[in-house]
Amino acid sequence: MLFAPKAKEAPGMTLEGILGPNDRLDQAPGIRVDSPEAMAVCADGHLLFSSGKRVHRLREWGVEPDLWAEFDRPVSALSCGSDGLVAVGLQGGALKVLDLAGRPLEGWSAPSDLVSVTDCLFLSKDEIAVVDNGYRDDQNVPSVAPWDEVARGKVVAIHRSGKSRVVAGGLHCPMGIAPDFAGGFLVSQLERASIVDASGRTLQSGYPGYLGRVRRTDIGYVMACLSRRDPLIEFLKKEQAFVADMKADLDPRYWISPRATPEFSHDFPIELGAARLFGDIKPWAPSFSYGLVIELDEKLMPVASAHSRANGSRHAICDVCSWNGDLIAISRASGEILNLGRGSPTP
Amino acid sequence: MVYKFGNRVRNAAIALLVGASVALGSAGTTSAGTDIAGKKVIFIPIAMGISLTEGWARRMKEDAALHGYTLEIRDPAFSSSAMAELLAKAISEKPDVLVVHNPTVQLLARQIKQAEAAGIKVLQLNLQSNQPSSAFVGANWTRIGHDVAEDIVKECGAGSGKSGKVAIIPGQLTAADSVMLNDAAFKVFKDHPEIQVVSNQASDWEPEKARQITATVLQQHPDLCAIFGHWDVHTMGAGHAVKDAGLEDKVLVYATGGGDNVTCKAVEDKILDRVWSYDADGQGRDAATMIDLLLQGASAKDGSMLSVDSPLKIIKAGPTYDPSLCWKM
Amino acid sequence: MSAQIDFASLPKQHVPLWVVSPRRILADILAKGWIESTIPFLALLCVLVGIALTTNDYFSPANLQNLAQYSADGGLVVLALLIVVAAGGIDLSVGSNFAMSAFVALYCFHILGLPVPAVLALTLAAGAAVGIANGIVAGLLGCGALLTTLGTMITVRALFALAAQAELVEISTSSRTDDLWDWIGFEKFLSVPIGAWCLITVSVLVFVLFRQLRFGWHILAVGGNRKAARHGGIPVRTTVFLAYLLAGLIVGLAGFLFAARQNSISVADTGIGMEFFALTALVVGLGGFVPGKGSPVTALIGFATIYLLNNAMINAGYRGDFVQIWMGGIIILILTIDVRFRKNRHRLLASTYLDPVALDAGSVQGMNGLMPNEMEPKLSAAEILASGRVDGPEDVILDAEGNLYCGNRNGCILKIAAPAYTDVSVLAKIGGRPLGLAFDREGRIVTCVAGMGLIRVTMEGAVELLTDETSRSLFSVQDDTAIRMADDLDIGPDGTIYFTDATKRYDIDNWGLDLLEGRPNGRLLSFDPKTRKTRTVCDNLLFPNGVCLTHDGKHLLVASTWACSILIFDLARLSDGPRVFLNGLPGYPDNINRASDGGYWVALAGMRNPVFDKVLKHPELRRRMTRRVPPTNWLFGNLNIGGVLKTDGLGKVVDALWDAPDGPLYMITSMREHEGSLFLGGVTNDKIGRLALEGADARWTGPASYWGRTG
Repeated sequence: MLFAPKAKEAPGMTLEGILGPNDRLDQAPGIRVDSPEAMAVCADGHLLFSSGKRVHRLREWGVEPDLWAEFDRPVSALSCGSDGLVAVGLQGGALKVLDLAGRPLEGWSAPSDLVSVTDCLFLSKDEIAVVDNGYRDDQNVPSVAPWDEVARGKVVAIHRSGKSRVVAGGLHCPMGIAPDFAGGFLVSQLERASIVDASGRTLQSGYPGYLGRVRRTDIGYVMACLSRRDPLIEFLKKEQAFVADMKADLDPRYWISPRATPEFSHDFPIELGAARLFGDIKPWAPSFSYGLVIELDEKLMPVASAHSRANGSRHAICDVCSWNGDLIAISRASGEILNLGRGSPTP
Repeated sequence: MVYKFGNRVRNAAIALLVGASVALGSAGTTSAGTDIAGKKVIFIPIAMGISLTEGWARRMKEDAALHGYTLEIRDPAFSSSAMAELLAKAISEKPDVLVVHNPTVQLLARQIKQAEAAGIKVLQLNLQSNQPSSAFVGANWTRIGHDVAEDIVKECGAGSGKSGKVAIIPGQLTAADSVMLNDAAFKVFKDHPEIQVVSNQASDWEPEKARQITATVLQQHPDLCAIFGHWDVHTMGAGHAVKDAGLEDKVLVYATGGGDNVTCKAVEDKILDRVWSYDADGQGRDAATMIDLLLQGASAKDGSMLSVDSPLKIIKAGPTYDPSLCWKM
Repeated sequence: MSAQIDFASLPKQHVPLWVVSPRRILADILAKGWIESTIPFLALLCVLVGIALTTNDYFSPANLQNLAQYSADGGLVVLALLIVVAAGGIDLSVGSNFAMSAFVALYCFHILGLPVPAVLALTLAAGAAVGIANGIVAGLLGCGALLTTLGTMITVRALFALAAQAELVEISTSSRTDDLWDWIGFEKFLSVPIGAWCLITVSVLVFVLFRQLRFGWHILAVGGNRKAARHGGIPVRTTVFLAYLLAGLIVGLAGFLFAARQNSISVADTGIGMEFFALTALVVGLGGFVPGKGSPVTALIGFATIYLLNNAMINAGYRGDFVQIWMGGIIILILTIDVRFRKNRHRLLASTYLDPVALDAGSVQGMNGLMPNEMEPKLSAAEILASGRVDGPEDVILDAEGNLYCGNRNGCILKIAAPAYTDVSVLAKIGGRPLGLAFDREGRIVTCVAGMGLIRVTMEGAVELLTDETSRSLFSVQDDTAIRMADDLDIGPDGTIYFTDATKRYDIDNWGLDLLEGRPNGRLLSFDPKTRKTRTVCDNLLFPNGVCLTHDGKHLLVASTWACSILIFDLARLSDGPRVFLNGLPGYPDNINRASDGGYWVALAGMRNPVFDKVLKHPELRRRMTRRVPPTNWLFGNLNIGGVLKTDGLGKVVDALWDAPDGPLYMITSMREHEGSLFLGGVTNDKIGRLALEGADARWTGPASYWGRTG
C-alpha cells in the first residue's frame, strides 16, 4: 500500500518514567579513587573495592579506606563468599582466592583458556563462577563489542580442586553475574542490553543502557550501565558495509562507540544535537558517554534509576552494590566510589 | 398434403437450426435473402431499467442476434442533457440506424435532422419529435387520447350523475405523448362543457410526484370523477393516492402504457382501472421489423416517415378483465 | 611585504558545470506547488488511457468536438463554483440558476423573439440576479453560505418549475430559428465548438483573475483566512458579494450555451444534481474542499476526469445506475489516494530532499606538530569580552578606532565600544541572520544576512538592501535566483563586493544538512555597487564560506568548508575558475582574514575526525541515517572544538591556536587582527575572545590594510 507505515521492532525502554532523567549520580557524595573497577561486600560487612592493582577495604562510609591486598596485575573483578572467602579476578584471566584477612589460599586456579575475568560469583564454598567476556583486557570492550557479532563470552565454574566446567557459553559480551532468586544465576550482557540465565535464554532485554555488572539486592537487583543506548549506534549496527570499512581502516579508538568519558576530543565526532550553545553542554544533549544505575525488581523490571547526564561527569558506571542499605556505585569516568544513599523505589 | 406437411416440418427445422446457431453465437449466419449482418444500430432510450424500454430492447436484441447486426444501447438514465450528448456521440459514430426515444418533442429535433442529413436512418420509438425522420413505430397517441376522453365523457359526463371533474397527469408537458394525448382529449372535452379539467400537472414520469399531485387534487376535489395519467408507471402513484383516500371505487384511474404484467397486477389491485396498452412487447417486435426494413434500405416513396401504429389493447377492471392481455418479461 | 602569489602554478580546482541527480530532480519537483495536483492529473491520465484502451475512436476528432461542445456548460459551472469556494463560500444554487438561465434564454428567444445578443444579455442578467441574491445574503448580510444557497437553490428551482410548466409547451412548439442562435449552439470556429471557446476564454480569465488581479488575490485571502483578510484591510463582505455575483454571471453564460445547444429544457432534469456534480469535480481536482485556492486548471482537471469517466461509461453501454455506482467508487478511490499523497508529500519530500554524495576531503596535510594533541591550547589564554551579551557573533570586525562590530541571532548589528569593550549597543536592526561583515571604502558596513541577502549599514544605523537575488542557473528545476544563505564577503579595490551564498538548498537552521549531503550547493557571487548588478562568479562550490581579498588586492580567497580547503580566484580572470590555495585542513574552515604579517587567519568552525571522514565516503549511510535516526543523534563533525590557523602569504600553515576541549571559545567562525590583538567570534557562542599576539604589528588595522586609512 502506498505510504504504508514501516513495520517497527518492539521498542526498547526509553529514558522516561521510572527511567526518566535525574541527577542523583552527580549529586551523590563520592570518594576519589585511582582507576576503580570492581567492588564487593564481604561477609564481615566491609566493602572491598579495587583501585588498579590494589584492593582497599572500607569499613564504613566516611572512614578512610585501608589497603587490603595488592596484586601484580590490575584487578578486574571482586566477589565475596558467605564463608569468608574473597575471589579476585585479575587482568589477563587470572583468579586468586583470599581469606578475609587478605591471605591467599592455595588450590584455586583458573583454567588457562580464560581471556578475562570480568566478574565472579561464589556458587558454593568450593566453586566460583567466573564470567569471561572474551575480550582481552587491553581491548576497549565498549568500543569493540558493538561491532562484533561473535558470541565469545562464557561462564566457567572453577572448583577448589582446580577443575573447571563451562556452565554457560555462547554469551555476547557478558559483564556481570548475580545469584537469582531461584538458586541459579543470571548474567548481564553489555551490548545486547539484556539479562540472560545460565542456558542463554533472555530473561529481559531492551534496557536503555549498555550493561555493566548486575547485583542482587534485598528487593531484586541493581544494574550498572556503562553508557546509555544510542540511536546512532543502534542504527550503525545495521550498516554492515560501513562498519566493515570502519573496522578495516581505523584504529578502535576512533570507532563510534559508547565511551567512558564525556570530554570532547578533536579526533572524535559528536552527534549533531550535542553542539554546544553559548559554551554549555545541555543535559539533554546526546552523548556517547552516560552514567546510569537501574534498580530492578525480582522480575527484572526497572523500579528506580540514577543518572549522570550529558553535562555530568560521573559516567560509565561499571559496578554497583547494596551496602548497609546504601547503593554504592563506581564511576569509571570520574574515578569515584559514589554513595547513592537509600536506593529502591523513590516514594 | 403429406408432402406439404413434410416440407413445413423441414422448414421449421431449418429455422430452428438457424436460430440455435445464432443463439450459440456463431457469427456471420444470417437469415436468407437479407444482407444486414455487421450493420450497426444504436438505441438511445430515455432510461433503461423500466419495463417499457427493457421490453423493446429484448425484442430488438433477439432480432439483432438473429440477423447478425449489432445493437448498442446507451443509457442516459433520465438525463436529457446526457441523452443529447449520447446522441451526438452516436451520430459521430455513423451507425446505420439510430433508434431514439424522444423525451420531448423538441430536445432531439435538431440532432435527428442532423443525423438524417448525415445519412443515418432514425427510427423514433413510441415518442415522436417535432422533427420527422425515416420511421416511427409507436402508439397512435391522438387515437388513445380521443378514446380515453370519450370513455371519460361516458363515465363522468352528462347523465352519469358524476361531478365531471377530471385530473390529467402527463409525464412531461413537452413529451410527445402528453402533447398529443392532451390535444386529442381537450378536443373531445371541448364538446362536453360538463367535463372540467381540474389539474394538468406533469409528474416528470415519477410515481411519487404523481401521488403527491393526486393527493392534493383529491383534497381540493373529493368528488373527482376520473384521473387520466399519461403513463401507467407514474399513474400507479396516482392510483395509490386514490386508494389511500379510500376512493378507489369512486375515482376512475385511466392510464396508457406498455402493458406488462405489472400493469395487470395494478388493475387487479384496483390501483388502475382502465389502461390503454400499446403492448411494449409487440412494439419491440415492430421496432425490430422496422430496423430490418430500414437496414435493407426501405424508405417511404415521398420521403415521409414510414409509420407503424401499435395495435391497442384495453385492459379494464371488472368482469371483462383478462390477464392474458399483459405480457411478461 | 606581501608574498607574490603565482596563481598559474597552483593546482586547478575542478568545479562541476552543473549537478545532475535524479533524486534531486525528484525532490525539486516535489517541492513545486503544482505537484499538489499530481494525483488528479494522474487520475485524468489513467481515465484517458483506460478509455483509449477499451474503446475504438473515442478520441476521434468528431467525438472530441462532441465532448467539447457538451462539456462546456458543465465546465463553466465548475469554474463558477471554484470562485465561490475560493472565497470561502459554497454555492448550491448553481444547478437551479443554470436551469433558470436556460429557461430565460429560451423564453427570450422563442416567446419574446428577441435578437440573440439581447437574449444573451438578459440571460446573463438572470444568472447575475441569482448571484446578487446569494451575494447579498451570504456576503453582505453575512449569513451562512450553505443555508443561503440552499434557500436560493430551492426558491429558484421552484420558480423555474412554475415558469417552465407555464411556458414549456409553447417553447417546444416554437418554430423560430436563427442563424446566430444555431451557430452558438451547434457550430464550430477553427474546428472548436463555440461553447468550448467560451469555456477556454472564461478559464483564462479566471486564471488571470487569481494570478494577476487584485480582486482575485482578495478572494483567495478571504477564503484562506477571513479574519486575517479583514485585518489586512480587505473589504471581506464586498469581496464575497462580488464572488457570488461573478459566479452567477458565469452560470448565466453556461445556461445560455445550454439553451442554444439543446433548444429545450426539461422541468425534470435540467440542472438537477449539477451542484453536486460540480462539487465532486472540484473536490477531485483540488483534493478536498479547500477554500483559498484558485486553480482553474486543477478544477478543470477534476471536471474532465469525472466528465470523461461518466461519458465513456455511458457510451460503452453500461446502465445509468450502474455507471453511477462505479463513478462513486472511482471518485472515492481517487480521493483516497490523493488525500494520502497530499498528507505524505512533505514526508516524501523530506525523505528525498537530502541527496548525499561521497565526499573526500583528502588527508590532513601540513599540520605536523600543530595538531591539538601536539601543542598547548593557546586560546585558553584569551581574554573574554561581552560575555553573555552577544548572541552568536558569526563574524567580528573592527573599525579604525578599534570599535568592535558583530551580528547576532536576533538580526542586529551590535557595536562594542573600544577600548573597554563593555558597552554593547545596537547599531542597526536588520532581521535575518547577519553573518559576514566588511567595511567599504566609505566606512560603511556591508553584511551578508542569511535568508535576506547583501545589506549595507551606515554608521548611523541606516539599512539598505543591496541585492537578494542573482541570475537563475541553467538546468535548475527549482528557481535558485534567491540568495538563500549569504555567508561572507569581501570588497575588491574597485568597490565590487564578492560574497558567498553558502548553500542554495538549505536554510541557516539546517546548514548541517548541507554537510551530510556533501554536494557543491554553494556559489560565489559579486555585486557591483555602481551598476547594482549581481553576478554569479562561480556556481557549484562546496559550501563556500569565508571570503578574503589577498594583500596584493588581486586575488580572492574563498574557504570551501566541507572540502577543508581554501580556493583562490584571480580577480582579473574570474572566469578561469578557482585554484587550490590550501587544502588538507584539519577542520572545517569558516572565515578567512588578513594577518598583519602578510599571512592569513583561518577560523576552524569544527574539527574533522577519521570516523566522520569515513562516513562522508558513505552517502547512502548518511541518507539512511537522516531518515532513521533522530536529527539530534546524527553523526557530525566535532563542532565543540575548534581553533584558528595562521598561514603565511602563500598558504602554508605556520601556527595554530586551539581552544581547550572545554574552552569558553569553541567553534571559532571568525577572527580579526587589530593592533596586535586577535578578536575571535563563534556563531554559537555568546562571547568574544581577545588574544594578545606576540610579535604582531601593534599598529596594523583592517581598515588601514584595505583602504589605507589610519583612523
